[in-house]
Amino acid sequence: MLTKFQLGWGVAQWVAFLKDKEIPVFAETRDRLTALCEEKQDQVSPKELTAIVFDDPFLVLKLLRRVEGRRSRTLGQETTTALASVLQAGVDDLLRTVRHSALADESLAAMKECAKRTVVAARIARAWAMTRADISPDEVALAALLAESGELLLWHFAAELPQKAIDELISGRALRTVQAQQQAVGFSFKQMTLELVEAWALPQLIALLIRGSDTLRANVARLAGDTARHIAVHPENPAIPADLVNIKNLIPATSHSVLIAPLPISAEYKERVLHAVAQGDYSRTAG
Amino acid sequence: MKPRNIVPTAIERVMKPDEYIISTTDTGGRITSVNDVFVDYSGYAQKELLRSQHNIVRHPDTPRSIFWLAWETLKEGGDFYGYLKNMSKDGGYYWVFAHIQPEYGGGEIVGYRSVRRVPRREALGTIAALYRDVRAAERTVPAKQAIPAGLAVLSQFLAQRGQSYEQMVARL
Repeated sequence: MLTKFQLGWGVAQWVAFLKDKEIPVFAETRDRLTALCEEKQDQVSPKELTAIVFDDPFLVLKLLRRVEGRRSRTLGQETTTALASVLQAGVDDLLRTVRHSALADESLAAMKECAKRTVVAARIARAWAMTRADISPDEVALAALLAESGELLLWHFAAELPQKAIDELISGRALRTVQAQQQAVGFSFKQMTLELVEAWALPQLIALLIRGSDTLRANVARLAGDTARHIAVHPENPAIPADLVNIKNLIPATSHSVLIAPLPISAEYKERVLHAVAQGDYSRTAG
Repeated sequence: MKPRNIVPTAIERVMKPDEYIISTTDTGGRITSVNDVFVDYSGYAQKELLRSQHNIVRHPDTPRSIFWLAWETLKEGGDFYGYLKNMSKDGGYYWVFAHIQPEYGGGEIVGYRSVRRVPRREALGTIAALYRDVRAAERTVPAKQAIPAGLAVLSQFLAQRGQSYEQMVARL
């Protein structure tokens, strides 16, 4: 329960409050890691650990903050290299970290939805980045995974705030997400994420992605985030064909069927979307 | 420039499932690129479209408040999707499901990219009725108050359904 004083806080106070907080993990992450260790003992590969870690944006944030001192912000690859070094340090260290962590409140469905959306965005972003032989697909995935860190942290430490923003939207008092957040708490969650990214010295690509950038990597990550949101709103969202047309515009050498593959939508809807985009005329004439 | 005195007709053209209208505009809404499908459905020559305001295809049945909502969402860096009734040069109309997103350059929004395709037919009954009510509200007040009046009707519609605008549009 937030105090009356906290309910009046601005973005700077929330960033100051959150930046040193101990970040939780999901119970499912702890259970999966424990089960993996019991099953494979010393034979767990970094790849298996990475798969579990990238399903929990809280844990990724936690690990990134731990390696903060060991990396350079300017070299994007260093971030994932540092993250990989934590994973390569072995499962024991990771398991210890996870076992000593607080757990995220699984009863908050909207928080789980927010986390799931970012995980889906990261998977899509990685797959799309791989098709264009990106220098580090993990880095693009990381940007998509952490793009909503501010909102996620609010769900854990001050759930009343994002809940108020949702209430604004479904009551019709706000028609746009940013407007709902500003009406509910006085700032946008995007603004808060940016300030947290700065406070924690997280990878620059995340800031570029959120601020808006014309780099191909940031555009891929942003489009993956939009697509994940469209799927979360409805698995047959009519905006999905446009997402596919837009990513094809960014990565023209890759086929539609490869680009649609990582989307967690039904095979039947994939077929319909593919059929719709197969013959499209996407050529434009500029003025 | 949009020709004056176009009289809307009841003649509808229905987009094919594999057709996409793609265009880009600058931040002021002036068209910077079009594809042939846009030329075909709008009825304008390519050179008439380029550098014209995108509202050259705006149909009077599409509420002003929907366009206001789209622009506000885009200016904030978000993407917008929704149903739009567009008008061709001959006064005929065609419905689209539009997805519009900002395009960036140097860290700033430099324009917008729009992809439009055939809408779900079953959604159009609800949307047409909603737009009729919103337009009616916009017309009953002075021009300056039209958008708030239209948005109030849209807000009430969403509140009754307990859905955000995005949820309503995606789930119709």
